[in-house]
Amino acid sequence: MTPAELLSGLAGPVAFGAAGWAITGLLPGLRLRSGHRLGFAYLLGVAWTAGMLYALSHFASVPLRRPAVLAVVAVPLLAWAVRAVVAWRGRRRRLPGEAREPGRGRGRRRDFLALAVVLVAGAISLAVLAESLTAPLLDWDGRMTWASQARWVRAAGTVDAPVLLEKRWAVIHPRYPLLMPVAQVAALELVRAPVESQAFRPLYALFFPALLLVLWGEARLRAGRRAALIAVLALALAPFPAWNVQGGAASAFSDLPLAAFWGASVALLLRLRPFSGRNGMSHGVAAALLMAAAVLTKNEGWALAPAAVALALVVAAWRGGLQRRRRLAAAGLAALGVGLALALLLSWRSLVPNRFDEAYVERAAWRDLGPAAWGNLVEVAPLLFRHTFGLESWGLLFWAAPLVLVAGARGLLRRGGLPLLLAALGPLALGLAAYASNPHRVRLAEVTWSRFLLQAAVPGLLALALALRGLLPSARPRPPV
Amino acid sequence: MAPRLLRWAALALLALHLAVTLPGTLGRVWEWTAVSVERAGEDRLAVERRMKGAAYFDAIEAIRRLLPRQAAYGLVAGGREMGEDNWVRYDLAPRRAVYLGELRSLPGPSRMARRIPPDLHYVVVAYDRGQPPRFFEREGFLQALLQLRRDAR
Repeated sequence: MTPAELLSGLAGPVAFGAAGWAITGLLPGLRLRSGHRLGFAYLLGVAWTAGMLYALSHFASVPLRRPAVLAVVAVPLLAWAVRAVVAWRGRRRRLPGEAREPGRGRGRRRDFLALAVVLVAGAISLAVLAESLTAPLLDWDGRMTWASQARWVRAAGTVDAPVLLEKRWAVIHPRYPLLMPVAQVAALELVRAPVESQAFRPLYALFFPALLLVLWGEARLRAGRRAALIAVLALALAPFPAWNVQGGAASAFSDLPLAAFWGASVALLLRLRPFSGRNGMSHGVAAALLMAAAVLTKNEGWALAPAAVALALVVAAWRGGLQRRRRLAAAGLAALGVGLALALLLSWRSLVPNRFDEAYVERAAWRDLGPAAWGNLVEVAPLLFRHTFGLESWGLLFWAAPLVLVAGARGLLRRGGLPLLLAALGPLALGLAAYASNPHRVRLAEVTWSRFLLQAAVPGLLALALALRGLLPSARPRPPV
Repeated sequence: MAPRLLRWAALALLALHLAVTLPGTLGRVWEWTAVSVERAGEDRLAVERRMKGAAYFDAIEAIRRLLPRQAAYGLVAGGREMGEDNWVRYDLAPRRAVYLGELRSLPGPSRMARRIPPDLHYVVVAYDRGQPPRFFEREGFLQALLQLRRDAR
């Protein structure tokens, strides 16, 4: 392979990351430590670029071509540049209340654990990235649905592609949300890659380190450095998220992007104490963008995003205190993001006739959610047990996690871990509801349960870190975040 | 379980998770990286040809040369494994497919001639994993249909 072919796979992610870095620069509350900020930057960059292109294509018939991609990527970069110039010219001082992240800056200790985690997680990420740069897509859903949709959308130059809108054409799951296919289109348009190019694959692979970086940063704020590092290592070493070719980073499934978008947004909304001043609004804007992306990434986002926002509103109202208004405002902004995304999705879907789709929701025997539900769940229980507790998918993570949560329950509850735990149960409840009501539940559970576990990763591991904090020897006291 | 015992059991189990998964992970890192480095030195199409199977890949490339990207074709599932026609549909995209059905269940040529939309001039029959798809012009497919069906049953 030529260097150009290898590097063409990185152009899109770099562009998205740059746009996202600019977005974090415009939001005071997201001017975090580099690694933490980089994780959010990648997610926000993909969410902004693909989300805006999706909306512009559908509502304004803007062609999905290179000029549009460049323009959308450029907007936050230009805004950031203007802000930087204004700040430089005004020689502005730091405003009172503009918070810096606790402990940022000088005197950062290096330790063996941090080095080990960086090396291991970095090596895993690089190995998956290398595979995505050098091998063609071979997974099931990636080829059947997401990458096929991307090719048709790119050929037509619009998300309202005739192949989707006309019922005669064989399109599997034609009404699945198009955020990731649009991101693929954007990545390929940037380098003018041929339509059969596989240069979109790194886009998916890089969600893995982005998710780990967000998890690390959010866990460190809440539970301290060591607990955060162990939580990140525990997730990185679990086989499924990185290596599985039917749902992990080595595939083009949309579950890892959904886990990252939704999980990062939940982490922001459920911070015990957003930073003061405008930083609460920063969290709201970022959470809105990420929740919108979750809605536009996969069907599960329809349920998970509103549920998470509702949880955040309840938590904000319940906790009260000085931060109450800021938390409510942040959750309100996230709700607005969800609303706008749903409006886009419903408008687009109204044009697309359904076919070649299992129609899980429509065909679910909802009456079975009553008396027969328990029996249906018992039927799939052995499968769920094997996928949850089997070494090949998650190692011993789910053997250890309940014990850690129980042993560290006091610290978990004292530091606001209960909402995180409830959020983590969201994807699992969604999966169980599907299995309880679907006639093809055995096949469904076989191919989807680990992906629901992945979707719960960020809030679940954050809760784990909070519980772990109190269990580790000689943990330093930290203010709650 | 006493709190202290519970605490150490939890930490021990978590440590065991890290210990059990680390060797396999490092092995996979090594293997995936080594294979990727080797592939990076090869021609991209050669890698794809090897991974998808030479016969399959060559057939797809031939169909891509015959069918313009904006063309449409009828897609027939000729294999026994579920979903294998999806890979042909993906590899030929953005060409658009009209799904005509499973080869074994298709009607005879005269009825099939009415089923295939008049604006579809080409038919692709997809087979099981690794087997090359077959490309037909509409009339050629109708003529070969009976034999194809016999071979599929």
